[in-house]
Amino acid sequence: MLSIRWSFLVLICLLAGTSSLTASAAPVDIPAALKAAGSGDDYPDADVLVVFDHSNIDVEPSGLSHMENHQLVKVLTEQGAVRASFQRLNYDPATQSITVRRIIVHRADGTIENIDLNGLVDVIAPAHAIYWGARMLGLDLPRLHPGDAVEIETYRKGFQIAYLTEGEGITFGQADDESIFIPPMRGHFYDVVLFQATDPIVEKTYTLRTPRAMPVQYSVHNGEVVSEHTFDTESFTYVFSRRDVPAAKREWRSSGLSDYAPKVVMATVMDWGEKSRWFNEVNESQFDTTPEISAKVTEITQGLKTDDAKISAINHWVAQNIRYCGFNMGKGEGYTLHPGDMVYRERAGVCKDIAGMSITMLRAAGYTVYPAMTMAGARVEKTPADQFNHCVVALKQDDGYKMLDPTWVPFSRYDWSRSEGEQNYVVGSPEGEGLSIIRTYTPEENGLVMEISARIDDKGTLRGKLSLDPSGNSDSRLRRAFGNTPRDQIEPNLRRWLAALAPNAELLEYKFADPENWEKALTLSVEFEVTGYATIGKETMTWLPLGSRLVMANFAGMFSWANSHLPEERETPALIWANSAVRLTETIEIPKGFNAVAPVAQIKSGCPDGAGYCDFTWQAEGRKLVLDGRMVASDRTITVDRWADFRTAVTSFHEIGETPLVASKKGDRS
Amino acid sequence: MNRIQELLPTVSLLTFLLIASAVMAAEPDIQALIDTAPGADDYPLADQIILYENIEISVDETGRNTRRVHVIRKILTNWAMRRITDPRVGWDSSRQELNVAVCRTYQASGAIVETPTNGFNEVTPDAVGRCANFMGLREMVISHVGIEPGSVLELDYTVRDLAPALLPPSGQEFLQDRWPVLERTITLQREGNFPLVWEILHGEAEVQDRLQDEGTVTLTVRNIPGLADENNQARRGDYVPSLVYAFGIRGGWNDLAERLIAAGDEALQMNEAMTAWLNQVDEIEDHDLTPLDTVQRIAALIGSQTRSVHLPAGTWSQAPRPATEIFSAGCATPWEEAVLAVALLEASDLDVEFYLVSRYATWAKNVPAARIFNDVLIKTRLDDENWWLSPSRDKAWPGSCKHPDRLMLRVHGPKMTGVNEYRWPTESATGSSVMTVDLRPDDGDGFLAVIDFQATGLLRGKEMDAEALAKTLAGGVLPDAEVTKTEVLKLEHRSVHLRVEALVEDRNESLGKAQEGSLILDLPHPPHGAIASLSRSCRTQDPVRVTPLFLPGRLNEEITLRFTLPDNFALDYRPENREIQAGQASYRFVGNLTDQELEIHHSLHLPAGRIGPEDWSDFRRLLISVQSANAGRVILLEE
Repeated sequence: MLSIRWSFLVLICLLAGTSSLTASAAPVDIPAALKAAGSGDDYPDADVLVVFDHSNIDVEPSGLSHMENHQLVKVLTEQGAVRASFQRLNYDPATQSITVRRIIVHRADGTIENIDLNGLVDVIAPAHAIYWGARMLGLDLPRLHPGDAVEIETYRKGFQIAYLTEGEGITFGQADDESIFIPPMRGHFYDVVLFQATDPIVEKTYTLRTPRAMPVQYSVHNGEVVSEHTFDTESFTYVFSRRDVPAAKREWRSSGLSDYAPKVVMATVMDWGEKSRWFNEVNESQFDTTPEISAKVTEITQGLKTDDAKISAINHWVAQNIRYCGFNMGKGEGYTLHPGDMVYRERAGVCKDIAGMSITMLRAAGYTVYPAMTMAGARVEKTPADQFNHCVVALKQDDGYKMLDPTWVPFSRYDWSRSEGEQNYVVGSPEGEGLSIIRTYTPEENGLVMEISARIDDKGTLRGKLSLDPSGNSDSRLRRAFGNTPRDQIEPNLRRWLAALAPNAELLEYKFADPENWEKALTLSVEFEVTGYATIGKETMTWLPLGSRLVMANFAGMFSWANSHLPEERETPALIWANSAVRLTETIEIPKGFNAVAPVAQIKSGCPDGAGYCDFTWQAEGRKLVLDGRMVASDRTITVDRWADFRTAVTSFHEIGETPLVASKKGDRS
Repeated sequence: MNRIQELLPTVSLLTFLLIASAVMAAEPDIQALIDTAPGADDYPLADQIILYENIEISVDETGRNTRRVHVIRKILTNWAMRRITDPRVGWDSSRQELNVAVCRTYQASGAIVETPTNGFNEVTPDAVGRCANFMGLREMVISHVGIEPGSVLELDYTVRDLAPALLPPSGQEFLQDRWPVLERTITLQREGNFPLVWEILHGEAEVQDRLQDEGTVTLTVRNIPGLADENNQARRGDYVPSLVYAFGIRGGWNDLAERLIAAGDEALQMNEAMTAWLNQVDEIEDHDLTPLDTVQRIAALIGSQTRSVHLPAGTWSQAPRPATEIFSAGCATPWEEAVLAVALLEASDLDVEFYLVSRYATWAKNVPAARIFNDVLIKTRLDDENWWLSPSRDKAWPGSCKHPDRLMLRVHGPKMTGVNEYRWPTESATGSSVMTVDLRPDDGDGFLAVIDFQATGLLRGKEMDAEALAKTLAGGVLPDAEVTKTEVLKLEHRSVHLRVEALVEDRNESLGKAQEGSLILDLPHPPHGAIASLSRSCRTQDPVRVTPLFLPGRLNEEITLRFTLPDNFALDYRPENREIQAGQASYRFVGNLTDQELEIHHSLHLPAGRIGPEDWSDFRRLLISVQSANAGRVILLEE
């Protein structure tokens, strides 16, 4: 039968000279590719260079996919040689079967070594917190040197759970029952392919073939990717490629790579509603209560009058009592929540299981509640592919859903973490839901009020008291410093914090509120003394301000923005997880005979509408010098174009603490 | 006082039977332990309490070891519930088996929750996760379930040798650790004539019960508090009570060394590829490599060009592979890296010495426990100078090492007649800096600084960057200074001598930021590098310590500042002259003002090693005198 092949260009983004590449096409001339790829001189900051990365995926009507991958990686430096000399190939035996076809070392002098694959070791991979039996194949290659290259060809059948996807190599293994390789959404395929990595890439191509009954919708984000879409009577073929890809920059607090690396998101799923209904169906049987669970719910909600109070009490019980540790329950592990009774008995699970416990208990209390998929730390695009790394709870209310996250709120007053503002999610409901987003929190909702009052005596010894009144993320962080920290570290941590003032800063006394009282903020008061803090001369005295230095020391991780060496420019967005506003009032009383003088009237930098703002005033009142104002980090994600204001504000705030203050006996010397 | 106990091979059988029935710890009454267990308020600094721990280490006549651990502990806090309830037990699957007899949780309600099958998860240890050759080493993550604060956890497991290890078992069991212990028993047992030597370090008084016969020794400690956490603490092996033991080595350290050397010698092989590598010509200069070039190439090969794998059971738990194999592999244990270095150095006709390195300064001298030595060093000699190579560094270095408080044993070398204890001379761990600063006003409103900086033994690696050092030096004298000239007089082998000129054009911008009309100058703090900085900036917050302080390097610091005051400025403050002595530490500060010339001299000498709690108060006083803000500050006022 004659097949008519039609091809048309869906999207061309690069200049002429780029052709669509199919990985299963003509064999690659490896020596020529290596020669053309360049050397360490061409990539001065790289240890290895990906010469090519070709993936060919064929999808069956069931959704089962077959992937051939062919990669060539060139070693540029000694460090790269050490790194590349061990090949690790991850796979999940529950969902994947993969074969290593060959591994070849191409030496710089042109000689070729075919590696004996009998040296592959198949073991359970190192693991922490999640024990689902992920495996790895390991292979020690002969010692490599700059100029050598490693070529790997593999075949993979099945799918990888989103949690466990890693960037290293290709998964690999064996299995007999093919049904386990069919993805959980039977008859569907989806993928997210990044076209940039932390190593430079000469060429990357991804070719996907699906049956005619499975058209793929896709979207391209964060830059240019050449794409081509063709079809015949049997199938659709999609080819995506990119050439000469620089290494992705990783800077201070860079957001997830998928937020700025060029990528293609693709899915055969119609829309988020379909995904939502599937997630609901596959988990609906997991939330049956038991007499024991129901009794616990009754105990937790005893005496509580309002729905909000009951919901919060249940959510907090789960957060406090179910620890993060993932055991394998067998079939369905990775996307199916563990049954409520299992989690209750084990008092352990990963986020989906902890969410499942909350759902089980809330349903036992009579609420309508569903699991929801979310992505912590990166964006979810509109194309309904699996882009999630976290599971939370959606409680149905008249005006929508109240979102709860028991995994992220141990030792927190809140039911949803203030670090998860602007986070995308999809609720798994029977009706099917779309893609939603958590609202933006204001900096004040993650605020801290810090008050310091101190006295300097005539020998220069400073004695002071500081108090903290936090809210939002600041409260949660501070609460964990006392509630979820080893008890023998609480005081040493406070001492380490005070050492930001001086190595001999002595902790005299401290008080903190009950970390498990969710009704009240975790206030903290600290009294301290520093011998020789100020220098007392005949006519003048000098000392450094306190508050800025204490904030910049970032006690308990309250302020992920606190960095005194922010670069002037950056290329990637910065994710600080929680915006915040610090209200600082610092009053220092100096010894008799000296007059306090404000160094400047006001310090103002950044922009109130920008990503950062610093606004402080100095006032002298007799022997007292008062600093009062705010440091605001407004954005949770600081985009490149808003970086300057943020940096200026933080730098100014830091400099407040580094600029000596002077007081004179003869009055204002200015 | 430490006593050496060596079990005699023959004692009457009757005596053995009478004592043997008592020496193995009786199984505990768990319910009684739970009922009488203290609570969180009884131990306000603890997150868990070890109610009972029994460790049995037994070795049969073939040298096969069986280690049983039975521990019962109470979880007090939410943190402990989350973080320390998944213990990991390692074993070598090629010759050992692990059996977990009991893993359960006793909830406060009285319910007992057994760990289900999926709570036992075998994984590859992180330490060998990037080296296929060692992936026979396994780790079992044993997770307790059903835990709440107040729960009691019980774990009873045994690791049994199916075949003996390379060396007979040895080790160091600490009698005290982070958590309080109500009762801890350690039993060493051997069969027949198999030798056993043991000793208690640092805690003779801690042992409450001691039972002993010719086959078994059992020690019990009770009511041991958790170790305090203080800053700059000494290494625990140098003050925490421990039991050091060694099975199967009859002839002491010489016997042990012979076994190690025999295993190493078997691996000392060369091949054509290694010979060719040694004979490589310098491609750039097109001449034969010098001996020092060769030594440095070997150092880089074992340092940065090979992935070091630290075996969970210790450096000596597996015999080294042949050097030919290590040479072509990308990963190796420190022992293997040392073997490779020895093979290549000896093939280059260089004499080589091989050292075992301990983490600690103290040891049980008569207990040949290989396990306490966790690292290796190699020494060779070029032009009458010693050169050292280490798997953890990418360059060889001359002279001596910077580990003032660590024990070494020389086990292999030319003309050796036995194992030699070796300690670095205290001087070798000395870092010295001499800095002279001439600071004077320029013709305008600025300042000029000429800085002469010499340092030995303080800086290394990336810290030895002349441009960065010049900038740091200049900025330390005059904030925001511009470096106008840098003269490198020496920059090698951890020794640097720079002369730097810097200037600021507006003194108010630099030293008068605080307030116009005043200039504040702080005595510059020379760059010391990471290690010496620990000594100088050690936290002095605690009036009292209960554990020894550890200073990693001796520090000599001499700073002279000659400051010409600008016209119309008078001195408002300079630090008092002072001289303080605290044990081996001393500090002297002298300042003189003559007309408009101020000369300050600061001399600080800090010892290396441990400072006991009893000496902390004086040492603290000295350090505060050095560290306080007004210790080296000068204030000038415009008249």
